[in-house]
Order: sequence, then C-alpha cells, then structure tokens
Amino acid sequence: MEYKSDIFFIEQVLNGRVNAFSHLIDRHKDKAFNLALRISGNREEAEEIAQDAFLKAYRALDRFKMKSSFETWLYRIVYNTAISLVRARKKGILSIEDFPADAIDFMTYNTREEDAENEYRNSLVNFALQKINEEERAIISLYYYDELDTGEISEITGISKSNIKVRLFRARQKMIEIIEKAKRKNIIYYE
Amino acid sequence: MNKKDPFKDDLLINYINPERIEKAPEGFTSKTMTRIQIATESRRSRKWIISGSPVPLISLAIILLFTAAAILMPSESNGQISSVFLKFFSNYSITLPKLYFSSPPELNLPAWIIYASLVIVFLAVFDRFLGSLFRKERS
Repeated sequence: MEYKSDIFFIEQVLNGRVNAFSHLIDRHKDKAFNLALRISGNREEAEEIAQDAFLKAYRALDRFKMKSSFETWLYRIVYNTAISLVRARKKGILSIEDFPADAIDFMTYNTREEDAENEYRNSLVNFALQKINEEERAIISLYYYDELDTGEISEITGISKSNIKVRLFRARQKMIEIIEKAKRKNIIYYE
Repeated sequence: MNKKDPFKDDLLINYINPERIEKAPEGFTSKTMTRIQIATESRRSRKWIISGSPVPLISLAIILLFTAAAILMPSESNGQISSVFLKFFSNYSITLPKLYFSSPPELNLPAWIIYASLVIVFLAVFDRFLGSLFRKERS
C-alpha cells in the first residue's frame, strides 16, 4: 500500500472526510498512549488522556500550522492533557516502603516471552518513574523512549531547552537513587 | 529524532529499553472515532439549532413585535408612528372579546397584556404546528 503522509490525511479531514482521521489515530496511537501512560501511570487514565488528546487535535485541526510535525503537535496536546489530569488528581506521593510492587499498572504487563532480567529492569524504571514528578516523567519518557532531543522536548513541553537539560539531569539522578534503593530493599518482585 | 546525549555516564540508560513500547488498548481507534463522530454530530445539531431552524426565531420576532407595539401604542392617536398602526387596525371592525377576571381583585394589569398573552399562546400553537411540519419534511 502506498505510504501517505500525515499532511495528506489532515487535508482529507479538513475537506470533510472525518474518517480519514482514523489513519492518523492508527499511526500515532501507540506513542500517544505511551506518553500518557508514563505520565499518569495508569492504563485506564492513559487511554482516556490519549483519546481526549486525539479529540482535541481533531477539533483544532484547522488551526494546525504545518510548521511542526503532526506528531510533535499531538505530543504537545497529550503532554498538556496528561499534566493537567495528573495535577488535578493531586495524587499523594508515597514512600518507597508504602508502595506495593504491583501498584503500577504497567508492571503487570504480560510479557512472558521476554527475558526476566529485562522485565525486572523495566519494573524498576516504571517504579522509579512514579516517584518523580509528572513533568520529569514526561521529559524522561520523551528523551529515552521516544528518543527526542532536548530541542524537540522543549517544543512539546514549552520548557526552555536549558531548563530541560537541568530537569533531565535531576530526574535521572533521582531515578537512579530510587532504583538503587529499591534494589537494595528488594521491593520490586518479578516472576 | 536523533539524540545527542549532553551527559556522560548515564546509568539510567542501562535500565531503559527504548524498544519497549506499550500498545494502545484493543479498539482504541474505533472508540476514539466514535467519540469524534459524536462530537461532530452534536456540534452540527447545535449549529442547526442556531441557524437552521427559522420557526422559533420567527415566532419570537412576532411576539416581540406585538409586545413592543402594545407597549408603544398610546391610548389615543397623537400623530406619532404608532398612530399609523392604530389607524390601520381601526379600519377593520375587529371586536376583541371583553374578558373579565374576578380574582385577584388587587391585580390591575393593563388591558393589552391579556391580548398579548392570547397572541403568545396562539403563536406557540402555531409554532408547534410549523415545527411538526418542518420535521416531517426533513424526515
């Protein structure tokens, strides 16, 4: 099948073909869901955030200036939606000792075929992600999982590039400390 | 999306596997599209209520016109614009029914209010009739 760019589908939607938007959803849903999941830490919420973000993107499509990529623009919407939701929820930070190993949804992700060691590392990372604030989670997710550079992260989050570097450095330090502590106390279990 | 790490000795990279991507839940696209279609429909219907349905707007305009005329028309013709309407209506020998209300006795409403109320009720019935007629045409 011939590859069609995001712009092609955007123009189709703007010309009244609503269903063309489903191609954009199909193309970007996993990344949008992942960012939402890493910021919120909850699968149901992440699905809602990602859906809301697509709905907002659809409504604002006529205002999308094709200067940046659709993906970057969508990421910005996902980021803002997720941050607003997490802030509204005002979830209290628990201490490591209070945190049950299966409390985070993506720890229960079924990956039996995967190597147990990788699964353990992943659980540690997800556990540590929930211990840092929502902005830091977003920055870590965009930097490591989406492999964006600090300039692109700055464009999505609206935080200056130099500030991104500082926050990335701090978030990384915090996560390493949390991971080391969790390993020492053997808090994260895996099958 | 190239990455140039500004930091050395990144220990976190040892734990993170960028390949690991959680899939969006099953049926995500169809659910989102349903929400989009519902939003589109409700927006269309809101638009239709504002611009596509002239009947209530016409009724409202007529009611307002009658009410305004009733307020502006003086009891005697004095050469103002309103007297033109009075003359126009006086050419027709319309006899309005005299309505008597026994209670409450303290209520001292101007006479035109009763007629305006009757007109409003009549227009409301007329509005319902036109509304049903338009609905039939659309379906």
